[in-house]
Amino acid sequence: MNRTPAELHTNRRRALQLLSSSLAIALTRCGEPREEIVPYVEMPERLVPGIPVRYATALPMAGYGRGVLGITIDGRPIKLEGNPRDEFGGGGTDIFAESAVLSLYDPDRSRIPIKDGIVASWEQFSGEWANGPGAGTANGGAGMALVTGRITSPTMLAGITALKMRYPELRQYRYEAAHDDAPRLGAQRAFGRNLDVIPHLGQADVIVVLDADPLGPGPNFLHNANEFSLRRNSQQPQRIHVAESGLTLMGAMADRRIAVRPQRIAQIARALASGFGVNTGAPGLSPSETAFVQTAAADLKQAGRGLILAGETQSGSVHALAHFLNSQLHAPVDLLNPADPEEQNHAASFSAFLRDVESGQIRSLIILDANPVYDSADSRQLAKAIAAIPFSVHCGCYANETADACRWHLPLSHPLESWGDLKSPGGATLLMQPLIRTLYDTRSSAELLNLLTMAAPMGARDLVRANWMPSGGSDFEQWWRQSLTAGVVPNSAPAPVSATAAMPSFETVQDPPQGVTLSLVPSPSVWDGRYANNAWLQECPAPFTKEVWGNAVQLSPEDAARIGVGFGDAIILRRGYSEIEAVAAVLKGQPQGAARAFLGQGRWRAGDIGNGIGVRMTALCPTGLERQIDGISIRAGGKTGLIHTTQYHTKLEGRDEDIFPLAASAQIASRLAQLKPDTGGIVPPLPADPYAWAMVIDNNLCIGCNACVIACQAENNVAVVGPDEVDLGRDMHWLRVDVYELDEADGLRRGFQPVPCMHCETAPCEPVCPVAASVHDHEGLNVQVYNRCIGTRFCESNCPYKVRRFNFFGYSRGQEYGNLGQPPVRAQHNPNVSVRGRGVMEKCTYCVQRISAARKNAEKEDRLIRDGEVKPACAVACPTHAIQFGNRNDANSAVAQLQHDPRHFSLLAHLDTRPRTTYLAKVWNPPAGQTG
Amino acid sequence: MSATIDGASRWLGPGAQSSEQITALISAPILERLSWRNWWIAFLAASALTVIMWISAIYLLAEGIGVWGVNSVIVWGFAIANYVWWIGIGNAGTLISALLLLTHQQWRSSLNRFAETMTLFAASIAGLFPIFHLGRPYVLYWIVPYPNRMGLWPQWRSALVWDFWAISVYILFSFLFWYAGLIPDLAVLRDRARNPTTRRIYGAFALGWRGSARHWDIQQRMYRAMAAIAVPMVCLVHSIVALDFAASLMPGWQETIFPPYFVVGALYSGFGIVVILAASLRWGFGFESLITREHFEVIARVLLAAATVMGISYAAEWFTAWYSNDAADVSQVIYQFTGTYWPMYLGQLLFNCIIPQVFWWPAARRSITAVVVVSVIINIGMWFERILIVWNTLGHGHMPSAWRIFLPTFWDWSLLFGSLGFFAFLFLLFTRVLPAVSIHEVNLLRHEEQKA
Amino acid sequence: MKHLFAAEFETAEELKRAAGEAAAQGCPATDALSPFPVPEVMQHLAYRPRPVMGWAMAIAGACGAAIIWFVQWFSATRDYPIISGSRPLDSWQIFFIVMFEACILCSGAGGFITFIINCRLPSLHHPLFEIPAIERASRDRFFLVFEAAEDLHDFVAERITRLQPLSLNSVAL
Repeated sequence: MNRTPAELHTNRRRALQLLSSSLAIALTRCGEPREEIVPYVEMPERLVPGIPVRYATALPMAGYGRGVLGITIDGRPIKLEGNPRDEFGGGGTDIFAESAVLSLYDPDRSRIPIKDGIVASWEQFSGEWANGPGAGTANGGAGMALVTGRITSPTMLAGITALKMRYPELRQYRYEAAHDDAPRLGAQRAFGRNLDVIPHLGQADVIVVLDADPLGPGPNFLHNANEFSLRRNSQQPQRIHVAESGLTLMGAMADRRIAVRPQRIAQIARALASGFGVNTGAPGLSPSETAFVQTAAADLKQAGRGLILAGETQSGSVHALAHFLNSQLHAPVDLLNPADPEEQNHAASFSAFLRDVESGQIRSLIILDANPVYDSADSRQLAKAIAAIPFSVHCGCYANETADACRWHLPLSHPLESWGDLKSPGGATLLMQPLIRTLYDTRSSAELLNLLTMAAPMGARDLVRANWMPSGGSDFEQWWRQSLTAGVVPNSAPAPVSATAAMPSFETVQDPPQGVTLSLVPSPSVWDGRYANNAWLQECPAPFTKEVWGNAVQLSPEDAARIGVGFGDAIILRRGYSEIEAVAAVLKGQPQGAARAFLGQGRWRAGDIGNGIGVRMTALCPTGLERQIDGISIRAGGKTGLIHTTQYHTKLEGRDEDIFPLAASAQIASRLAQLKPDTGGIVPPLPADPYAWAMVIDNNLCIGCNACVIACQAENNVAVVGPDEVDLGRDMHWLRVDVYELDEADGLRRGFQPVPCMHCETAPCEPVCPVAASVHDHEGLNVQVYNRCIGTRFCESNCPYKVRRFNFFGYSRGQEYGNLGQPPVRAQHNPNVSVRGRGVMEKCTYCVQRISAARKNAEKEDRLIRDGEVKPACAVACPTHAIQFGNRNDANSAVAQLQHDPRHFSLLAHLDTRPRTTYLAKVWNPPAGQTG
Repeated sequence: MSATIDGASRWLGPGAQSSEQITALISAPILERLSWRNWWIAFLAASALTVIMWISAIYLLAEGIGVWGVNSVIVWGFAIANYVWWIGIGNAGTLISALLLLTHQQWRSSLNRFAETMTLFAASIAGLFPIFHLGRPYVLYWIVPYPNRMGLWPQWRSALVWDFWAISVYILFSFLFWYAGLIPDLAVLRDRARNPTTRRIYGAFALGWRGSARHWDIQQRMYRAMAAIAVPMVCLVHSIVALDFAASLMPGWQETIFPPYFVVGALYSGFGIVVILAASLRWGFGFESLITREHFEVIARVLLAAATVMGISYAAEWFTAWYSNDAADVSQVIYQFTGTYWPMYLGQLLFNCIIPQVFWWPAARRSITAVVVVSVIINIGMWFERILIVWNTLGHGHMPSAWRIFLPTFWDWSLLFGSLGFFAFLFLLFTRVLPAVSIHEVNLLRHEEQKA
Repeated sequence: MKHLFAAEFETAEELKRAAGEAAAQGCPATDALSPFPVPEVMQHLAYRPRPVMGWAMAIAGACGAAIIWFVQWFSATRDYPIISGSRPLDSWQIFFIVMFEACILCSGAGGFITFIINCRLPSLHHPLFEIPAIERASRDRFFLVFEAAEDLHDFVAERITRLQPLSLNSVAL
């Protein structure tokens, strides 16, 4: 339809009408995409209502792709799982992949184009583009700028090339707030060009980590976690030395760890290098540092394959040094031509963008799925500058801070709604197919680029196909279907290139400056802020502080004492003239003089969920992309701080025998032999049954990434309660990951322990229930009958593990937090799991809905359920395969095997609750020449 | 025994030396049209609190349990503590009445009526709290065993089912016992009232009691028999309340000492409230001749004994923890002394064990003010004990990762204090419609004392 | 046509004496009214109590206990057998608790009902209530009640006056 601008002068009433109608449309349109999409396994002849179907697709993570399987029921995606065919990821998921399905139904997603804050239409935009900047082909599109995040999608890159062909003068700026400039610099120095360096943790015998967190969130997380787990429990123990400036998941796994200020890492790296014939000039080290370096070096020397990993907050030279040492050690690393072809580094590109915007050289600005206003240190100034640009358009899933500054906002489709392709950090290409028709009047990025090039209008699917036609070979359709089925383009993974690292040159190492050094790292819950409006992620406890709904600054106890603040107190951080008010999280194991904070909070236009949560740390940066800021002065004060946490006590209080046994790998067996549970109680065993469901969780493999927590939340319709309820101690997670301080030494390590329901055979929660709402089924599941529960809460008060959760309010029925009560969110609910109302107790069910689904199939074929046929959401999600589930009565099942492992133990065994969920103890491997 | 005052009459003052005097004195608040200014002031105050209680309750039912401070770990809070506290208060009435009857303690006669009434009201209020505390109070009746279409039954192993039976039996039985003792006095009021309507009403409830010898004979047999089973019942009720905690495996709860120590604790706080009520009746209605110093003196002795037993029970808890050598138990005791609520715990020890020791001094026992003040203190201490049993154990259990604290909200407090007002409200009404002291039993007492 | 005599006395002692003398004269009182129990008077009356109270309460209690025990056993083991913490279905030790409560409730109720029935209460109307003075029986006066057939009226009246009551009232049945 063609409308003249006159008609489009929309007043507020009209706007509201359009919005409401668009919502109505959205809800009625929920269903299968129009085009053909291909299920993961085999196409059922027809879609059976209520039967889940899996489709392979891919999700972007900071521009890289990771393969996922989307479970849809009646055309609604309700759950995502890892795609095993994506070899790089290894089949697990992380919290970002798990929570994407909630973002899909986020009521705050933008639904319709907006111009100057007024509802507009796509036709209107293309009209204005064609008559405005788009027409400027004569001057080659001078003054036209495109800002994007990292782009690896071949189709998108092709689109951008086309755009540049039409507008040769177009300037492209590419940056990620959580960027990898340091590794890039390192590669440029060591190899003379950009190379992606992919480590193989599993193949290294000794890993020396220099302030890196390979197990932390990020595009490589799944790969590293998977590799780590493959080696972790093998016969050849792997030893991990970590020197770091803050608590990281890798540091928690370390066999030896020291905490030092970030500046010391460079010294340590050099000292380490000098052990390998590199003349670095002997830097001064503290005794503890020296000891660390000596053991690490000795270990590396006698080890088969060593691996050095440098962190993103470290300088390029440290990375270069690491690359050099790795090549000396024949470390298991793959060098790949970068999936992100952009030559310029992120920080450079970003500051160039800031400069050009300020200087007013940009006449028309296209921001594609990026949020520079939030990312830049001085948001207000940048917003003003952008507002001064005659034609500015922001394209994204949300009308965010940047959209506010731009004249136009165009809504992008959610990845689960769109066709496309992505490259995994390993280089393989993944295909995206929509699991659902677009809920609102949105376009995918590819379509958008196509629209900007003013080429013949094409659907995203056709764009992707067109881009792959050449590689399809003779029978393209067959190739296409096959690729969609797998979600991966066959043998698209590139071969590693070989390059030798040059001996790096060293700049003079300066002493640590005055004041505290603040390291800014991507948030383990909202990454760089792009996921800030996802309630599951906001309520996902940070690994060490267990903080939710915020980003407190992690301080060492010494610094906290100096400033005079305790855990959760208000502090003020100051750098030069910029000051921010934050909350202190005092953490043992944080080095003195070094603070650490998470990016991504303090958003003001994220949406109903993400607005005003936490603090925008980048306000302290010079430009916004610096990851390490020196000379920060911290003092107590500011508005009374409040830290929302879900675990208040992280010491074991000498109960490690009962809760978290730890020993050196050699001793663990003898250690646990002494404390075998005495199950000689008077209570008789359960009646016999073909099935005895059981779960074994390996503390040694749990890296505390929370993927299981969010997976459980998605699968079981677990409610989000919001910060205030969390403060009252009412978080609803069925599965929590407890963190414990393992040794009081300076290099304090942590242990993680996922705690779901134990499904005790002599369950203490059952005899105390007055109405038999908490009962045992014949397969040994401790089941909770929601509609029988009258809410006495006796079960939870008598549960030694405290794993039951009570609906103090109608968290998912009538009293939801924020916008979670709105219709779109309900579409995510798993129809096979009842939504609990107010006043009833709930808890982990071992995903009983999956068990009964499997039982149906088994009974159809008149057989028993096979081992591995049932996997609870947490077990499927776990990227380190730490959670195993199965039938204990089947002697060959994985769990039955693991229960004979010498590391096997039950939580609080002395209570004789006979839990069905049991654990494998964590062990550590003493460095060469040492014993536990 | 301390020397008896003014010769013959130890338990009755000069104002109660004839039937006529006694009857007039006791029935005055009901039948006489006097000015009861103080009564009205108290009544208005109590009504205000009652309104607060019911507003709080309605808000609770409308919004959900979340309006309280309870959390995923300390899932029980004020409701349970208040319940145990009130049921404890209820304990004393029946016990005084029944136990002292069986042991022929004469001084019971002027206390048993209002003590039993206190029991009825306290137990009923106590019964409200477990209902309020439910997540879904509207399906409370699922605890009752009745044939239903769902084919479901209660789960008899649950201490809450025992609770339900204990409370209902307690209230019903106490009511029968109370009414059986009340009938002769209703007859008195019937015969004394001038207003025909009043006559009729009391007459109806007196069931035509004539005080005939055969009536007396049967009534006395029944009354004694009921008293004989009332005593074990009372003990069982409080043992069951204790089992709510003891029949668990939480550190600090799973202790065999709990049942006896709950019974004593209940008796203890109950006597405390009896003292307060006795003092207010004495002061408000001029019952000095019915409730003498001697009564307070005796009760003070009981309180002293109970205080000592409480102290021993607490000590027994510490010993068991140390002797069990169970990490959780030991840590629980340490937490009681050093944890978040240590001031309340020290208060509990001070109020329940130390302060009542003043009753070793006769002067303290004979000073009504002293006995009343100590009784108030004791009841505060007993409430501390009850709330700490809930908070400390649940908040400091087996898993250190699940250690939490409890933050009371306005609605927690409003229901607690509101219930106090509601109790006062009911009791004040009672004093104006029924004889607060048993007329016929005091008459008998006078008769026997004058015989002596 | 029968008559009821109510002889009024000042004190409980008077009552006992009079009752004793009346019995000695071979015309024992049928009943005595007093504001509080005067058990000694019973032996002189023409009324012998039947000790049913204890039995009634015991039987009632036993029935209650038996019924609730059965309900527990039947529901827990037959009608709704369900695994609860691996406890035996027939957890008889635990059934005692509710059984005891039920026992107490039923015996209490049994006792009260027996009391009501044996006293023939409620009886809101009784010939004695016709006598105005009788209302003091609930307060400070004591009465001996005699029953006399028409022909014995004067004889009995004469015998009663020998007991020197404060007053003597008679009412025709």
